[in-house]
Amino acid sequence: MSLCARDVSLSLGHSEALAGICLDVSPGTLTAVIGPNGAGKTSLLRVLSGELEPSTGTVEIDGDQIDALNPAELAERRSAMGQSTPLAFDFLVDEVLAMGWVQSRCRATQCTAMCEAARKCDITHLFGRPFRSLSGGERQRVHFARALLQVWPHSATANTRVGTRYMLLDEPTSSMDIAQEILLLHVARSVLAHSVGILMVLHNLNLAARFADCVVLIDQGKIVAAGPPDRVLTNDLLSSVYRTPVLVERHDALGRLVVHTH
Amino acid sequence: MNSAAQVLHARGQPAWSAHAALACAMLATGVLALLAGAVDISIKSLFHDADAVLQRMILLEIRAPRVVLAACTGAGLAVAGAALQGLFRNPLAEPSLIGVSSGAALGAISVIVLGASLPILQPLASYSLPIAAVAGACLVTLFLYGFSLRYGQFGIVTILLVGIAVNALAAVGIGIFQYLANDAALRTLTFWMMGSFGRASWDTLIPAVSLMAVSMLPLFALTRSLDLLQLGESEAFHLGIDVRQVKRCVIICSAATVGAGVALAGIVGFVGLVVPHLIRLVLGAGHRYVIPASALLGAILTMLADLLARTLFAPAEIPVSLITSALGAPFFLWLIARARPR
Amino acid sequence: MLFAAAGSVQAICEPVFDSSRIAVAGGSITEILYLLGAEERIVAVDTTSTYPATARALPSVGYVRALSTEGLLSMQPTLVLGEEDMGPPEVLAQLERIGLPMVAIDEEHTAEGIMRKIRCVARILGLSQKADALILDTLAPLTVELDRARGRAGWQPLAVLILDARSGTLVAAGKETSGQAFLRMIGAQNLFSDISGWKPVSPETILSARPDFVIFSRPGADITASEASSFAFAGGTDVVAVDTVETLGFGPRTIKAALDLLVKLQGRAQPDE
Repeated sequence: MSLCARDVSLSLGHSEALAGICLDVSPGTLTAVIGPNGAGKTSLLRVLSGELEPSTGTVEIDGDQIDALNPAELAERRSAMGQSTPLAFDFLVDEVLAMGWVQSRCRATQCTAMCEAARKCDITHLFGRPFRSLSGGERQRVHFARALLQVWPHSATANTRVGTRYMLLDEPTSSMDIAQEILLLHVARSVLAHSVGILMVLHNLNLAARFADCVVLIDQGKIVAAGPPDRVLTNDLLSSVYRTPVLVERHDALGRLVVHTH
Repeated sequence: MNSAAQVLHARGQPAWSAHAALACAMLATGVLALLAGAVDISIKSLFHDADAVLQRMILLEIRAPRVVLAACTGAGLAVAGAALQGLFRNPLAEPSLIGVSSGAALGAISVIVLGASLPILQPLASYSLPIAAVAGACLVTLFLYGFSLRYGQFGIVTILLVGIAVNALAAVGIGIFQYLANDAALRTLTFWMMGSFGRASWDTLIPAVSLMAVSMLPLFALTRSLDLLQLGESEAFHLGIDVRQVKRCVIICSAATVGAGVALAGIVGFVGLVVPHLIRLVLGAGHRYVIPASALLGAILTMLADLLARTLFAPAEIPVSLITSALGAPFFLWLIARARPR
Repeated sequence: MLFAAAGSVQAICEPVFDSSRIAVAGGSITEILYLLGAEERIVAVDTTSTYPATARALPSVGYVRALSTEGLLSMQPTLVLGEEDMGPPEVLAQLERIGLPMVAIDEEHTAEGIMRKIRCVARILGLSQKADALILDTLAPLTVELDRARGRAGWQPLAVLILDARSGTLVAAGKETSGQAFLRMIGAQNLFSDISGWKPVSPETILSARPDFVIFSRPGADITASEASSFAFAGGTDVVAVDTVETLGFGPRTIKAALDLLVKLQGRAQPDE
């Protein structure tokens, strides 16, 4: 049971965006994808979500080939949050959130789930406001809540929702302040228990060090290293991939790795 | 119940009452449009006066098809406008502004001019004009969509520039056909180009209205897809939408709706712009409200515009597009002023 | 009120049952009705009925090719009398279903055609005697005079007829147009007899072909000094203006207008001979 890429390559035009990627996202774990700009992080996410078809290799979700599933079936098994496009019309925040509801039409269940997801992401107070009037960070919180709602676990009493779900998040915190970043990652970790697997692209290496179970470092379309944070986030690896001196040290008071740049 | 849940539960209540109010207003407008006109018709004499045969004929044979055509065309243009705006994610995408109506006109004109020399069309003569109009509209919409994919999402004003170019191209085509036309075709062409609801009769109305209804209905079923498309094509796909299929469906359905309307009534401008916008101001941007409410308001506005067109200078008539443009153009300017990037 | 006869558009010059209230579609028919003294029977006209001036005060039911069904019916006519290009056909079909008698008068762009048109209208209204007298007294002699003037030895000028050129483009009469027919009436040869219909032409084509006359047809027949001299430098090309409705309407005044123009042109050509 996992979302996995098997020897995936992707050519976009003449350039090779991804080459020989093998990756496993298991339910209950949070995987962080890191790497310099243009490394292929977003391409990887788009291939994993089924949006782009790999040139070679396959992507499987819980043993099913991803290209054998139609968009609606896929949507029930994974959610994705891309770098968002601006809205052309004045949708309200709760309307945007409701777009993430892909389950049964039961209105009461939907309302409860929406309220709960909104409470978790601290966007309840934004309900009823036009989405376009929000700040960048607030918009990201709403989009994250929408992706969360899409994989929302059914209560035990409602019609059963078995199986695992996955969330693919592309830099979900890029416009957020530090408090919001931490909140989002706490929320993300809290849903792992409901057999949800999460893969997110992160630029903030400290967040990756603190919250990820597994870190995947990619460069030029290839995986350079993958594994627990303390094995991937090393001075040598990061310095060579980012082409700038990076210092990683263990902060004893916090009990985790801290990444510095010179 | 906490306040967030209350917000959610309150949503949808005003929309239903607004729909009911619009439906009542549409019926009332329809009755008004049936009873008012150059010839005086009184309800009393219709039922009691044995001599009211002529009045009854005018009502049933002349006014009724005209009102039905106006209502259907208005509803179709408004719904197609709302759907195209959703597809292009642009509030200025309007069938006549971006050239879809011109494409339909070009298709129709090609049949008027070349129809006589194409023997295949003869058995389908009464259908060839609407079919060609629909084909022309589809072609333009596909081109516009392809253009927007290739050269990036249309900016709010870029689409108007592309529309100018498409309209100019269509005008070239129409000019060429006018040049090629023989005398008889030119005469038909002139009649046709003057566009009005006054040419409606039940036998030409029924095929066009059925085509409009058939092509409009799928758009009512696509409201959620249109909502999700607003997040971008990738996000819509992530949320379970078969984006390609939805796009194809919206393009063909809205083009067919516009084409059928243009084939019978000529180009009626701005309905598809003004109506969805007014609805969004009142009911919000959700397509599950915008599409059905636009159909109702579009029917109301077009019936009223036609009523004005035929009574303002009675016994003469003025073109109905004159009225819709007089209402729509200032509104359009206001929209452009508002749509400037903030 | 119900119409007695089942109506249909016909082109037959037969008396109609009731011609007491006539809706007219076409300026030349209005002129003919005034000529026959039947103007009180007119209840509505179209927008091309601009002569005589009193006709403009009558209720208008739209342009001859864009008539309004209900507008027409609201004037309660007993007969619709129109030129052959009245329309649109859908409106005529609606009127036909209502049962309103309609007659579209055949158009033939010659002096004889004009007289036939007058006789036809007169016969429909039961005014044949009056029409015959009018034709005998004025139009027939004018036609004879026109034929004689046209037949003068050596009179075979090359001419161009331009429809209202104020928009900047010169729209010339080609074959199968009323313009070419009018040129034929004054014995002129049309420079553009090869093109069909009314088509835009370039002034250079006209200059290089050196026609004897360029005739501008426009309402009021007024012409500016610069227009009058616009083709003068080509040498030998004369510019005149005629009134559109008077000449191209092919109504009762057209024969006289053609004769007047012919005499004027022959007078201008005289000094060269």
